[in-house]
Amino acid sequence: MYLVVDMKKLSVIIFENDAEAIQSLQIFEAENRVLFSIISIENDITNLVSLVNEFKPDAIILAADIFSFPEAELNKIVVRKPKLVFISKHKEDAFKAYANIALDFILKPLNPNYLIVSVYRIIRYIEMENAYQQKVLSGIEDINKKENKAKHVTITSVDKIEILKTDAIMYCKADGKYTEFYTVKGKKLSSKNIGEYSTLLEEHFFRIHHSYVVNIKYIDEVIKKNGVFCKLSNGDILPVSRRKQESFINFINKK
Amino acid sequence: MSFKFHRIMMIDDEEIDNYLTKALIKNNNLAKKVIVFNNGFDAINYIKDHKDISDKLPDLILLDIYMPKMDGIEFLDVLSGIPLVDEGKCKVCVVSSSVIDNDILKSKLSKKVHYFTKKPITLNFLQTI
Repeated sequence: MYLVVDMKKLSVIIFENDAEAIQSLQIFEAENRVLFSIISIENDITNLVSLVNEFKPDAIILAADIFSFPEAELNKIVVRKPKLVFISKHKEDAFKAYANIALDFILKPLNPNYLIVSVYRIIRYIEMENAYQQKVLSGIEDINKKENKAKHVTITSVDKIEILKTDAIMYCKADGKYTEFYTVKGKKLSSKNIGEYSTLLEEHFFRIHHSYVVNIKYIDEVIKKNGVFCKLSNGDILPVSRRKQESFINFINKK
Repeated sequence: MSFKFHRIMMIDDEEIDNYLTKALIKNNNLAKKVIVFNNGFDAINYIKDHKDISDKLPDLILLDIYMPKMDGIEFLDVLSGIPLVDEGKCKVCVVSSSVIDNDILKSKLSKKVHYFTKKPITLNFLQTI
């Protein structure tokens, strides 16, 4: 069993009009289909940006001895920027590869030993970018969880829309098509039904009953006599429906 | 056709590394046969099964260190305990990922290790071993 289940297959657009180089690349593709796939071979760069936006190639192979990479156009690319490999008959064009932050530069005539290494480098680079991105995103998620980022719900009534911090909500009670919000600043009425709110309220909220969604931060006690009830910090006592009792107890114990 | 090595064994859990090395070996006729394992455990079983058949044992083993099931260090421990019909076989080249501290790694390696390189394995390296 391999750790990476499927090897990444690179999709590539080639900008080249030298027949020999094109042939080398096609032979390389035929021998390495598992890793390398040519989307198209273009003999002019005017459509580079639209081709990239349409086909989202992983990489571009560009003949630096024929074309000049359109740096000015790059901010029109709306998809993930493809990795660049420059190829040329002239060593001096390596400078262009650095200037455009290419991942590799290969001298023509193209040698499959160098092409395979380029492909390897691109695959590895994409893996690293993805791993880094994952790390950054989960770091942000962790910080948000710790700081308990303020969440809000909107309360819609005939004449206004109020934005309420979820931390201020003690519990919600269904009233037909409406929902009553019991907050630290008093009662508020919304014209949306409770079902719509139960999906929005997460983390510290639990639907204890088809008529009640409670914020566990405001529960002082859970009474287990003649059924299960929540006693809130303002003195209100709410029933927990029989169906929900077990999952409610589990929920409380985990928080 | 003469090959530099009769048989090379690669042990690495990463498919892309195996692909690259195998391509370089095949394209440049560096070995007649290439055998690939993605963990040390299966590689050890192969060697145990063929310890008396010189022809089936690899001349060179390219060994990755960080793998699941049995890592490179454990592989080396077990390998040093297997009596081979030809002790010139199974020369190990440790292939490390360049992020790891190589000095600490080197201190853990056994006498069976003849060569040491970093990923990615280069053609130049294979040609000059």
